[in-house]
Amino acid sequence: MAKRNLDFCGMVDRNDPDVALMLRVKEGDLSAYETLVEKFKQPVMNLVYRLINDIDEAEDIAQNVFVQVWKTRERYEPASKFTTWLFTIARNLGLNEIRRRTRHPADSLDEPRPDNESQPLRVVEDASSPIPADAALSGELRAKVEEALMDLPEKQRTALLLCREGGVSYEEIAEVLGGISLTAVKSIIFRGRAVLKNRLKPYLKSGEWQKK
Amino acid sequence: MNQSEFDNLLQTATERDLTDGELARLERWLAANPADQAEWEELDHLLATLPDTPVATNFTARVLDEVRRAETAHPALGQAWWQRLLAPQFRPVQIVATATLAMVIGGVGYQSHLNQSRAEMAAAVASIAEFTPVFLVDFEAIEAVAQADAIDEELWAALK
Repeated sequence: MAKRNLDFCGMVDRNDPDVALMLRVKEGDLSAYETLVEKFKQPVMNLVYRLINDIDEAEDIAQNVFVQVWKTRERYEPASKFTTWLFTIARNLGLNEIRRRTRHPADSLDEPRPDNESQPLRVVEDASSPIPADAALSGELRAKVEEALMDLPEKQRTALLLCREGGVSYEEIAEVLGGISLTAVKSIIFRGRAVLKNRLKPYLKSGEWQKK
Repeated sequence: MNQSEFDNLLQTATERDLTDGELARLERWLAANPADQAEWEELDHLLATLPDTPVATNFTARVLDEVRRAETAHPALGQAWWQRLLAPQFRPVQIVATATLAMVIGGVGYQSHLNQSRAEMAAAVASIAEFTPVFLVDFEAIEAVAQADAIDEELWAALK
């Protein structure tokens, strides 16, 4: 059991239908592309949002991830899983945004948007249902986990988030993180977990929470 | 490894990357200690139950719009790179490339012409050299007379 937890984040699917879809996209098949976008928009949004911690910017970047997939489709080679390629693009665009914010900290909120867009900017389903008390409590715990996760260094956070998505092996995480060794991946993940555990332990025991 | 060593290793892991050996010891410890293993799994469970980030309902439509717009702006995207270079938006590139090609061809032609002229001149000199007059054979000795030491006037008078 421990071996499974340290070596894999989930099962690796060897009969990968995503590669087949991506090969159709490579030939210019828009319907296959639409299927891929539908299938992976959620994991990409999860990763990008938790990388940059800004929901509107995250959506723009996540859309750009898929646009990049289309624009660079001719360069896709099915040497590794499609998700490895996809998450690598997502991470790179997320890191670009973090660098851009570091250089220009004030201009992220008031950038002009393209005025010729036929779609409204962002349409989210209404989720304003009443929240039960226990759900509010677990909501508070989730907020703490989320906060602790956001405070992790980028590599640890990305590695843990990829684990969370499931089906992502350590080999894939190593590739997404820039071709590092498996030992380095294990160490990064273990380190991230240990930091999270240390941070959350007092809160889980006594409700005590320390801001970083 | 005992419990305090395990705790120390966890603390170490928060400060630096663990080595292969340390990771292996941790794996063995977790495999043999269900309580620590359960704590570890609880953390994974907490991460797994984090809610998904809300995605706009028009996400896919916006992406497809963007892609279609990009296709309209660059209709040759699906062609080979050299075919794309023939598109009208690359007109300046085409002009510069054509001018460069013309200059290269002109330069090579001119150089070839110069080489040919030099070869012809060398052949002409070689043919003239065959008819060199005999007096030119003693040219160096005659030239040396002018560079000889000043005449010994006393010896010159005696010889007279």
